[in-house]
Amino acid sequence: MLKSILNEIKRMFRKTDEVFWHSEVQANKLVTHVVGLGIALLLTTWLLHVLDIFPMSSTLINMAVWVGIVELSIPYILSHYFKQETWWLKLVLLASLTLACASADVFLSYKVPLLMTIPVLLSSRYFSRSLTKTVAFLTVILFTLSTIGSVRVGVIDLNVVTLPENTMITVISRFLGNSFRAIGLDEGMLMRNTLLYSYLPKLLTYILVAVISVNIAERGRAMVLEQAAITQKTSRIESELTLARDIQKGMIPDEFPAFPDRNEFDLYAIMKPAREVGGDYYDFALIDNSHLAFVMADVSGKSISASLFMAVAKTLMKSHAKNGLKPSEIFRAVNNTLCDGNKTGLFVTAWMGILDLNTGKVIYANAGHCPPVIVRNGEPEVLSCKPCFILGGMENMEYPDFEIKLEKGDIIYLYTDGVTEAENVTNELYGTERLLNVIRGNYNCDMKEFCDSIENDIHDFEKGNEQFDDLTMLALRYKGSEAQSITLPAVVDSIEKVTEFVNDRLQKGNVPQKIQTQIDVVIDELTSNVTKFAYRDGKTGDISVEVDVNEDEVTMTFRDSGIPFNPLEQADPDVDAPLEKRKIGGLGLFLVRKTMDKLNYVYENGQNVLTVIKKLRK
Amino acid sequence: MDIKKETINGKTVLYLEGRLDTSNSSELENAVNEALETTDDLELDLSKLEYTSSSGLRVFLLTQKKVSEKNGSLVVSNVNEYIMEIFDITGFSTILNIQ
Repeated sequence: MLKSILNEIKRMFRKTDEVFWHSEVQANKLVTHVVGLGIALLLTTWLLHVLDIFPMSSTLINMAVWVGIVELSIPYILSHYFKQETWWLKLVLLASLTLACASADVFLSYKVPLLMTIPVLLSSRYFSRSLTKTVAFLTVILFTLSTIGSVRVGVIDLNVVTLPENTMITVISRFLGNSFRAIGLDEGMLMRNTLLYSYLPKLLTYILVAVISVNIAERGRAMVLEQAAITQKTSRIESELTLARDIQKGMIPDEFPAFPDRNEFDLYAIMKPAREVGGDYYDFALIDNSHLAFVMADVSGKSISASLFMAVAKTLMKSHAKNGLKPSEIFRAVNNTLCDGNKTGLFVTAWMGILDLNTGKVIYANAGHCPPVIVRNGEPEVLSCKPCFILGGMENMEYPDFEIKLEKGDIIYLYTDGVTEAENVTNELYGTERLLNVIRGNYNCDMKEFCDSIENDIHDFEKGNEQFDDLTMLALRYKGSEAQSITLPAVVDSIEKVTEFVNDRLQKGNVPQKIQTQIDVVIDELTSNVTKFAYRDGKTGDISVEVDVNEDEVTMTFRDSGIPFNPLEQADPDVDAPLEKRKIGGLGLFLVRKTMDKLNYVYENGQNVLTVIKKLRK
Repeated sequence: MDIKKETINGKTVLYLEGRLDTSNSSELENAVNEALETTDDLELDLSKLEYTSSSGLRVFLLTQKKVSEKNGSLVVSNVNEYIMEIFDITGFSTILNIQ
């Protein structure tokens, strides 16, 4: 038993575990406060005594107070000197406190029976069983000594004194103890009775308090350890979340301008998850030289589960879009893949559009997503269409394509319900009206300022309220492609300019070199014909050439206001004739017919209109 | 289009470079006529010619006719795939001596 106590004591003399350090400093503060209060209490007692409100032997009071103040002041000063932050401070504090309590007990004995429980109780705050046991051990030793001392010098509990038979008590002294000592009572009896009737019951009480305190310390220790484990787990999860957020951010194109060399459109987007990671996302990509796919999606739920689902949906959509599918086909395929093995019931709402940069035509499909806003001539309007079912809900759903043509300067603004359902402190929703209003005020800005002003308006509205839902938006302004037609005077010098103009578009459209060469020949033949034959008798006029390149074909339309001439009616030259019968004319149109896939001629509004189509895919 | 001229042992070689079209076919015509004044033995090297339109074909045809009248010789050499295709389509591959 003694050996185990010694072991416990030995354990005291080493540095505290880091986990408990914070708690120990707090405990040191508490004990320092108690020590400070003890000093104040002693001074008050002394003052009361000096004022004669607290009548007791001056010698005892002075002894108790000043010995106590010295014993408490030393740890109090030390504690402040070390700012409660040194590992051995608890030992000094508790030992001094126990000593001070014991010395008070010597002089005031039975008047202060509770004092000796204080150190043990306080020690439990350190959550160390060893410390509490040590303090309890110290308490028992010092209490034993203080009891013995109190019999000799302290106040005497008259209840433990056996008076001689027929003792007559006449009070002549203010302090009974002094009187009894004066009549020469048996010291042995006094000691025996005090130990039996006062010391023993108090000792048992202290032991009980000690047992309880040890238990409290143990429980407290376990709780601190549990807390530490939880904190560690939480911080691991947090660092994982931070990583997840970075990954998610990396999946979303967030560098703007995203296509610095494209001036047909201005695009900007914002994604602000409410938590570390979110289920909203936007995405956009040029799927070929003249088509921009863009999508806004919202996964049900929030945080990690939603972000995982989002990653899958995003990857699927992008890969399908890159294959040149239409939104309807993409949604159909993505929906079926998402449904396959979707046991969680998570789903995605999405709106996807593919913009033809040459024409402004947007083909789009809506899978249960809130409709975007179209801004035309400064007036925003919600682009309603019959929304189809969400993605990931049910297999084999159909998502029809819709079409809208953007004019130059039109804006299409996509968002998730985090925008319209942002709440202010009075639980009011931001709503579509507010959104349309802020759009009206900012449609002239570039798309970054446009999105920023909407975001700021939402933040102003939410002021004081925590962002509850992910906030995601994408704004796209269609600026139109560069001129698709060129009009020049019908002279030989114009041929080169027309060729340059068309070649520029063919290059942007990644038209194969061989076809470009064929088209160059066609331009040469057709425009030179116009310059030579269309305007006669001194008349002059223009030639205009329009070109449209898409992934399937190149379409060129040649117009002139010269005399009506249908090149398709000209007979083919005889290409098998011998040299001497070969004619020089007719070869140009023949070459055009041979190398192009489709020619169409009309004479309308006083113009020759010749349309030439060259297919890029066979 | 650039035209370079080389004469070796009475044979004249014209190296054509670039694009032969309406705007420059007359340059070739002049160069050929000039060459035919001093020689009957002409070679047109097309290794660096990108394409030809019907205006170019016209010059090739005229040149062939003139050389034939003089009982001279015209060789068209190093024809690229694309121009060869045009020669084929228009039947020029049957009347020109292509090497």
